[in-house]
Amino acid sequence: MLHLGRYRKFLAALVTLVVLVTLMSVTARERETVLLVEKAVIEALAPVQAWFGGLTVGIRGTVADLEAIRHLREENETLRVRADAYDTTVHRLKELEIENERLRTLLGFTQAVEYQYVVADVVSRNADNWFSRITINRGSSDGIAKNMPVVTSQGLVGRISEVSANISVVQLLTDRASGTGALVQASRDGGIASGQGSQSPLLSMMFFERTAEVAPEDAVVTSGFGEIFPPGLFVGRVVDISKDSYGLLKYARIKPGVDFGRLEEVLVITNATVGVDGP
Amino acid sequence: MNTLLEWLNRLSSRHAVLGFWIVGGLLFQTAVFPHLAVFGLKPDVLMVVVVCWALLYGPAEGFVAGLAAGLVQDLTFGQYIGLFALAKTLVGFGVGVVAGKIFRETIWVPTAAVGVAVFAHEFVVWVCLRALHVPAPAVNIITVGLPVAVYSTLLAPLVYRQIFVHYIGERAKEKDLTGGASQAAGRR
Repeated sequence: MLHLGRYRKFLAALVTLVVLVTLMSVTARERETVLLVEKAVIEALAPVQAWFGGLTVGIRGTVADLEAIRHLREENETLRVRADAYDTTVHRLKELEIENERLRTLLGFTQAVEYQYVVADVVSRNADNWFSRITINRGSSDGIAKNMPVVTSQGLVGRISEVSANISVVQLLTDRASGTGALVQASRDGGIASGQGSQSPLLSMMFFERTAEVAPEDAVVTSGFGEIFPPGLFVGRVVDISKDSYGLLKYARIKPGVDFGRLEEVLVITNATVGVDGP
Repeated sequence: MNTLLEWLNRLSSRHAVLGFWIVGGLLFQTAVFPHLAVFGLKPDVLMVVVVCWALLYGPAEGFVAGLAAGLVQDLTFGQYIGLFALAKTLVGFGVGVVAGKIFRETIWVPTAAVGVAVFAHEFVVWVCLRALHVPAPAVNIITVGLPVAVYSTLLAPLVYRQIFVHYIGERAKEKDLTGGASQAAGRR
């Protein structure tokens, strides 16, 4: 009964491989729902992953603290100078904010939405080296839904790609399957910023116009052209610019504002699409 | 009946150990190694486990180990369920086939085998990504595949030694059982 012939084993293996290929091609399409078994595995592993991750972060933090003590005085001096500069900037921004509000009223624009955030801890990262995804400890029970934007104070992180009750998966900007509508803040030239996988910390932005005005260090923000990200979220800064071999397309490499290697806490914007102004 | 019970007992104990290695490997890979990434790349601990398992237990077990490890990996993060299961199953089976022809008692052979197998695994993943129209330029076979293979080989001696200890223990138990059975038959 238990003795399986070589032929039957071969058939079983073949069927398994065919099922895997079929499953892969079916799930490759954008899915609205997460399989029950996926939810079960994610939910079951998340607490242990969080514990493991916390332990590693703790150890790394202690080592980093010891290292940091040596540079503390020098850093303190630099920060004091920078804080003075920020004070000036804050005053200037306050002035601009007041002016902006006045002009908006004059033009009859709707009030910009105050975003509502859900704070989440990063539980774990994807196991492979091809994609860039993280899991966070907030899910549908906290009001999280698919495609909600995820940010930190440094800028855009990505979007929610899968949700279960208490855990969500975030597709990072650097994921090779990710594409974000973006524009150069100064010139307003638009394009699509795409990830290049976990081994490259830079994004590649392809411009819609080959005459796009862009220079290194220019700030890049979300355009709001897609339906996922609202306009104006900081993406990163231009590193360098290039053209394709035929000179038809213009590209820029973008250094994201967020340090994806050191993500520990993120904010999920839960009301991004409600009443947001156009670009 | 006794043979069936012994077979089931051995099977469950062996696969419980495999399950422990897969879950442990996944936890390390998703929660610990991202903090120890070199140039954004981390070792493929699961693949190291699959290769070591296949080297010791052969193609059928390599197939099972690859399938289980790949499916767990796919289910935790995958949009493309089956992608890593397919790659790990194929490579696990392949390593198991080759295992009978190589000398496994020295630590250097499994270490080299892990390097080659991880690179092969990354190659299969790259082929699948291209088939699924996910942007993955050919240069990624080198920029991802090679460093991950090298990084993973560093873990191979540690993992292989532990699985080898379990393998030897299992074989010794088997010998005791068959020895005991033949002695009993002799007495009869």
